Amino acid sequence: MHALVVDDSRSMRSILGRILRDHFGMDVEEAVDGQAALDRLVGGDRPDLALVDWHMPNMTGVELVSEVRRRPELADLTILMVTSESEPEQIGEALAAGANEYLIKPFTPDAVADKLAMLGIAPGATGCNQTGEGSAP
Amino acid sequence: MTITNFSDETVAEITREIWSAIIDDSGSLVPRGAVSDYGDLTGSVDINGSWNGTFYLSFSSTAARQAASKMFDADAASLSEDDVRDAVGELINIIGGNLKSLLPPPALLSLPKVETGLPKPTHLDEAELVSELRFDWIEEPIIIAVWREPEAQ
Repeated sequence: MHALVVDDSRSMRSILGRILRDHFGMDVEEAVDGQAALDRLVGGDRPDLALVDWHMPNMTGVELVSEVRRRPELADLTILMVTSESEPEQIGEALAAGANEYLIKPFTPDAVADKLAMLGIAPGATGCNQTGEGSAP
Repeated sequence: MTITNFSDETVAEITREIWSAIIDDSGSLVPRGAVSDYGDLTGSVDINGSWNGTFYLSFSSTAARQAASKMFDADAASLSEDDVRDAVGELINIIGGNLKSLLPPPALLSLPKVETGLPKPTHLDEAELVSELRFDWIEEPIIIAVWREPEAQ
């Protein structure tokens, strides 16, 4: 399984990357904003899963999700929004834009596991090579 | 639960929950006395909507670096200043988002800002100090403050 973590915060990318690698055996790439994520997603060797922060400069996570869903070649990409925005209105907005599920910060590895299970993603699968900016320690 | 303003108890509860989840689950964020001044590094987020104001989270340099080391799971000395500032910004972003979720909609959360050497906020001349709490962690001060801007006339 190959995941792309999209967050402008290095510390949050580090936390999420560690959980995905250490608990679920995923290969993890990182993108620092929505445009970097889009550039990566339309390239080859597409990730299976994108975890997308809401609040990012230039392009919000919801705008990124909407842009992804406008592209037929990315229609089946699984997207998990990861954010401290926890009101029903925000959750509804993210899901309406095309996110598949929603994970609220702060989260535990168990909470990530629950969301991955809801998405039908089995932990422990291995996939593509790890590349990308600033991988977590 | 929806609220119209923040109590010390609510601010403390949310801060401790998030601290425990991200930084230190040993319960070592200990409430202390009055705030005399802010720390060396202060993160803030603004809320605009049904409630307007700013949340601040302020650290000593040592506390900020140690908190960042927990988030990066890295030795504190190995982290850059940008890493430490990033961690402070992300922490106030999460605390602010969780506090905001208690407000009635609409309530918009800004991107976090991190400032060095900020004394008590002075740009909020008309604002009301709603809550200001000091905790100690690893014998270093952590300050969380909530300032509310006046209603528009």
